[in-house]
Amino acid sequence: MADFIEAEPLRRDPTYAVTILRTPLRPAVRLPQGWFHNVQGPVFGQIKVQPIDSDLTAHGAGEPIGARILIFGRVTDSDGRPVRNSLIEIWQANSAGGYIDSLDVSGFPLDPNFRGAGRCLTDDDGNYSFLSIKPGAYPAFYAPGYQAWRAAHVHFSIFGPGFESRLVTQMYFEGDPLLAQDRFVVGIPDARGRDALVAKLDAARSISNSFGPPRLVATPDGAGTLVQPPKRSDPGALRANPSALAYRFDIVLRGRGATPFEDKA
Amino acid sequence: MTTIITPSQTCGPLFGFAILPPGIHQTVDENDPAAVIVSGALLDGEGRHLGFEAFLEFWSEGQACRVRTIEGRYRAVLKRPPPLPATAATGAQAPHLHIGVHGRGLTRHLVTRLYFSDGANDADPTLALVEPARRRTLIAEALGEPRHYAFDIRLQGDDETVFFELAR
Repeated sequence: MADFIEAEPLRRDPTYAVTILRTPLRPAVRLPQGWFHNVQGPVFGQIKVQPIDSDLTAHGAGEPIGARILIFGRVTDSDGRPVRNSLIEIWQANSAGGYIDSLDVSGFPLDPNFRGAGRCLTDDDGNYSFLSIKPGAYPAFYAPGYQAWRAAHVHFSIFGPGFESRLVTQMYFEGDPLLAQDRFVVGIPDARGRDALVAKLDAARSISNSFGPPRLVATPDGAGTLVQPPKRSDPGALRANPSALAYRFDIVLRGRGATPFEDKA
Repeated sequence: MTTIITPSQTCGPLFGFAILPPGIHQTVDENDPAAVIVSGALLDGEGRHLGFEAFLEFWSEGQACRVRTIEGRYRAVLKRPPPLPATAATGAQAPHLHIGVHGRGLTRHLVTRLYFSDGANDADPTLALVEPARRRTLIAEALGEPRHYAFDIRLQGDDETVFFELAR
């Protein structure tokens, strides 16, 4: 068994003022070992997952503006076992830093072709992927008189198999200079925890098959055939042949030796 | 090799557009005789409600629903959970729902339990872990209307709701 550590953010953080009155002051009551450690967490049968739900660039009538990204990774428990067939939900700002949410007061422009919400199920090896656009940064008010820009981020909701594997978190992007001033990142005292939320650019997984020169594709007779790239003017060309920078974000959930998640019917 | 458990982060204030699809607020029609309708407020340490900045997940075996707070109040509709028989680990449990509390300013979500004021709660092993004076924070009060219960969640204060975690 691998060792594991937790590197949680501060619960009460004066520089993130709203935590002060919302974080319970009394310690949580601990449920003894073996009582409910195998109790199932919430399972939302109401949420139907379709393949298109994981392609956030495909939810409008047209193409959203922004740099295409592939977010992918693997979800495991703290023993490194894959978390299978488990719901992941994501939500994010558009490329200008605006949310389609009616409560967003940022004033940044909305993209009529981008909602910024997706979902998928992990596969049998715990893998997941989303196609999206790179979210823009936006300023946040952390405390009276204290405003700073948030690093670009994508919100994640993951369930996993049990009571304690439930996780809501945020994913960041490698190399973003705003990471150093984002309160939610800085609020994690352990640098290893901060790093665990930063998705890493994966050049090898980055897709680049939209445009460019014709490609030679192998054929059974060995002669090969030249495939012409789609033209930008082709309807749906971007959608059918996305080029996207790939970011890897692996997720480790609480709970070791968890019973493998049974497949849903 | 040391594995880092992925840290939690606040859900932030803007999630409603993404994770509240139609129908997710209930697991059963509220007119169904098996339904319970649970409602209440989510309050901070000064008694102020959390506005639209939180969502709650209710679940018991085989059912789950998610509701957001609207001006600090929520309303969830579920099947009344059954009492649970004794296991090798614990005695029999009174009917209860689990609740996950997610909100802006909660850097990790909280988990509590809702019991029913008309349930047979006296021998429940989990309630027995809670100091007697605080047990009432876990009991939903029956309202005048049948199958309706009131359950406020207080994040701080004299009546701070009891939250749970698993011993490790």
